[in-house]
Amino acid sequence: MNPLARIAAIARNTLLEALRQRVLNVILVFGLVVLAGANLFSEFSFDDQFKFIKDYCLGVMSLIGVIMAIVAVAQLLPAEMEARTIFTILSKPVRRWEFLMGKYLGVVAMLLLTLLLMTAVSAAVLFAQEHSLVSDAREGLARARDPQAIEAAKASIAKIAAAARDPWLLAAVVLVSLKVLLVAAIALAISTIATSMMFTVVVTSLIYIAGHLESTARAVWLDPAQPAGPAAKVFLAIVSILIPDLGVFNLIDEIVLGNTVTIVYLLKAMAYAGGCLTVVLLVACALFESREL
Amino acid sequence: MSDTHPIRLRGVAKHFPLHWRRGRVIAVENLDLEIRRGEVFGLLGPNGSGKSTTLKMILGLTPPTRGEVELFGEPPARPDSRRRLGFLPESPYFYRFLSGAETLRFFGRLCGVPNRRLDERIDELIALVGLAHGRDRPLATYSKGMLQRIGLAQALVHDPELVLLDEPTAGVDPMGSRDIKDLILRLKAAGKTVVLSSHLLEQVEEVCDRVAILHLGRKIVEGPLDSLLSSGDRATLEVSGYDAARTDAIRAALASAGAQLVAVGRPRLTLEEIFVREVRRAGGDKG
Repeated sequence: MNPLARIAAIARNTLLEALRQRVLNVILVFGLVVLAGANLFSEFSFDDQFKFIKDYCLGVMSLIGVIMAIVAVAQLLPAEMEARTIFTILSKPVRRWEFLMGKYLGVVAMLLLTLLLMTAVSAAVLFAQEHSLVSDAREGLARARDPQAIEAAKASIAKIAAAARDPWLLAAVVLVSLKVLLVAAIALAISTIATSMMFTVVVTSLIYIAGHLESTARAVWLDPAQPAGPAAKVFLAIVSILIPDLGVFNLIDEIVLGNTVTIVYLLKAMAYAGGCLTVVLLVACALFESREL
Repeated sequence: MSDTHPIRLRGVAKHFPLHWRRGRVIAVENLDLEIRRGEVFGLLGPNGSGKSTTLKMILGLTPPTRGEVELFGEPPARPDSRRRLGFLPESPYFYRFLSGAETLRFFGRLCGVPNRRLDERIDELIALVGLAHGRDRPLATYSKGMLQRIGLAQALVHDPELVLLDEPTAGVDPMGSRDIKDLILRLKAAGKTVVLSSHLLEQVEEVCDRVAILHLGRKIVEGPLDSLLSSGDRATLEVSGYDAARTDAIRAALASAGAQLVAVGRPRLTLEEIFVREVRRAGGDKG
């Protein structure tokens, strides 16, 4: 029997277990409710309304996704150790890395389902807003008599549809998803050496914050004109080398503002995520291999 | 060599360093152990004697600090060597949301039991451990005895040659305990090797061929149970039609055969035998 079948069996169980966890369900329901309330802020002009809803929804998805990734992964190994199911599983012909990857992929499946659900709610909010604004614009069109006003109303409807159905929003969702999966992998690596769930949560959260400052740290480290001392430079070098640059995935603002984001950039970001995931998961497996159980 | 001795430990030690260089805890020290194929071996000792650590080293869950552990002639960290092994942990817990049958399916998949064989195997094991009433119930609703039974079933799901049982009857009622002892004897009859870690000595006495006693991480006794338990040249004769008034005649007859009557008593049933008999008679023996 190949390792993939064993990994799939463990991943399936992990997904079923994660879907039953009350804390994760509460976080998800909270996220969905917050997303559903996005169109309550209607005092902006229609263009600003869409910008706000997109910004708000993607921000909530990113935050809820990251929190769920950290909480779900942080309790994976402690729960298995406490229930001693890990001993029964690893007494079977299962390699440690297969067990760890099965657990990770189970959480990944849960996170992708969660992000899919949040994307669907965000799309519904955008659709509802579009529907409401287009109805208003159609009323305007019905009332319009002179050709100029008719043209303006038609243009307004087209503009609303374009603002609501921006395909680049999906690119932003992909980038948010990649960031969430990378944070889950980092939490997994930390949990292989952690002795408590809290340690994993705190350290991963710190790495998450540092990951957003990584590009600044690298700029200061590599710029000879920056007045940082040798100790600070060494610290910045360590941060730059060891911590993935999570800022790469933060294109929400650019996409929401309608600024051009190229396919090439998107592909590069995906390749960067793939590279980081590979390295972080390899480190996690190596650390778990040598852990005393 | 691995065919005659599925487990072999040579000069094995396991030390756990304490934090901040405060020394180390010696869990196991200089342990030699050879488990023979087809025997039921009892690993005995009080709590903290090193039994669980020894099992963990045999399973490859923790490496020895010193010495060599071989499972079927290979280091136990290699998954192939664990393919022929089944393990029941002490007080086993499984995924509580899975039913008994789903639990066996999960472990069967991990052991590489082909899908077409798995359904049949699950039916066999459910019947073997007497869990027909719990087959489709989630494990969250199982009693401790039922968890132990499903634990035994998962250990046997891939029909292993060697079965390691850590306190298999801990917390189980006398009926369950009897069934588990019967199962161990059936495994032995089927040519399996069984290693039993326990501190319930009566249970070990009933099923084991050989035992080793660990204390503070060191082996203090090892040998066949019969020779360890026999008290020199003494023997027990069980007779029918005994008349207390004629004890002197019996004593004289024994003396003429060069033997001496040491004690006279009446054989008694054990409380367990009465319990098992009466519950079976009442027809409620599962759980």
